[in-house]
Amino acid sequence: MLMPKRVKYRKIQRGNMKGKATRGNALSFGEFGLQTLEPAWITDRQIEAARIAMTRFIKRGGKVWIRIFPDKSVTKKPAETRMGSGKGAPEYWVAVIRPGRVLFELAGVTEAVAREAMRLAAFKLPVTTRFIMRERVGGVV
Amino acid sequence: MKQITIEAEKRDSCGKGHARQSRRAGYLPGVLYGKGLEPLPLRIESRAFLQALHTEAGSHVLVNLKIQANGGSHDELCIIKEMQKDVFQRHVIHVDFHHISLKEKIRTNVPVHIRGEAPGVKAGGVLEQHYWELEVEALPLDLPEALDVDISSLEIGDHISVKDLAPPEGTAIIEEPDEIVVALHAPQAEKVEVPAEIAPEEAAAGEPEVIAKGKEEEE
Repeated sequence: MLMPKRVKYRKIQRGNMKGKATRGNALSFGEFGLQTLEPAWITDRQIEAARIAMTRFIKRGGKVWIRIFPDKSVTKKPAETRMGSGKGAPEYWVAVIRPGRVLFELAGVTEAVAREAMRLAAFKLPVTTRFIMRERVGGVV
Repeated sequence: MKQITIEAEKRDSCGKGHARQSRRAGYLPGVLYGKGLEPLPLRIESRAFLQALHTEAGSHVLVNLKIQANGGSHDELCIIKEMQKDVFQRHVIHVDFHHISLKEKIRTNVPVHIRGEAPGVKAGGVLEQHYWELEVEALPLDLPEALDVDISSLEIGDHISVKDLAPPEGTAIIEEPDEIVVALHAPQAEKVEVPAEIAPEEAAAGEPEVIAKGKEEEE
């Protein structure tokens, strides 16, 4: 599961998810991408599940880039605990994403394969997404 | 490089309120600037602008701007320096035109087109394109529409660098000669680029190391 190696603070406040993604909102590495249309916290498990769904479908060949990283810890108090006694322990990690953020990128496969791989990956995510690809100018083989 | 003509008119009003008004009225706000020119706010008919760019060359064209200002009209030759797009809806919301001279060399980005079929791809290799555009320097009329990269001799493990490309005469590629444009890798099952992998012992512990600064964390 993805998580930071080192952090400055173990527990952080929730913050907000207002606005649109101003960075990481365009394709940088691959030819195809999966872009979110909603704000959300995407957990490390969801990222991993989506990655596995994608790489299983494309089998050998193709290259996947994960464009988000879960760097925010989410804490939880144990079950049946009375309120108080401070904040709970870190439970899992999430990536905060805003609409427009590119979540995954793919290269080295055909468009049909990329679409299907992204569709399968999208089932593992808590947000509505759309498939994006580079605008092809002129005649690219 | 292909040349297209776009009609524009001088825009007297500035600011986001006026820009939004003109977008609602079917106009695209823009600006023209360049060497020895005062920046000139413009507005262009959105539909005409998008149709003009709907050629094979896309936005990599020389633009002949017919500007109507103060009751008169004059032409300016320019390139599209930047197109601001809405992240979400993906339509153009603002355009920057950079005035150019036909006698002076300019630097601009040119798309990289891959040509041919690599034998390495047929053998199961994965073609990775590192550069989708390259910065080139040339006289405006010498600018190529695209830089072709022939991959028909590429085997698994091979790559094509900037120095291997043959730009047209009068065109110089600005990028470092050793930069890899296209590479053909061996296929790797379920191998992905992970931004930062965690060490096994940390994964077992379940929590990352806290950057200590004076006070130590409890628990």
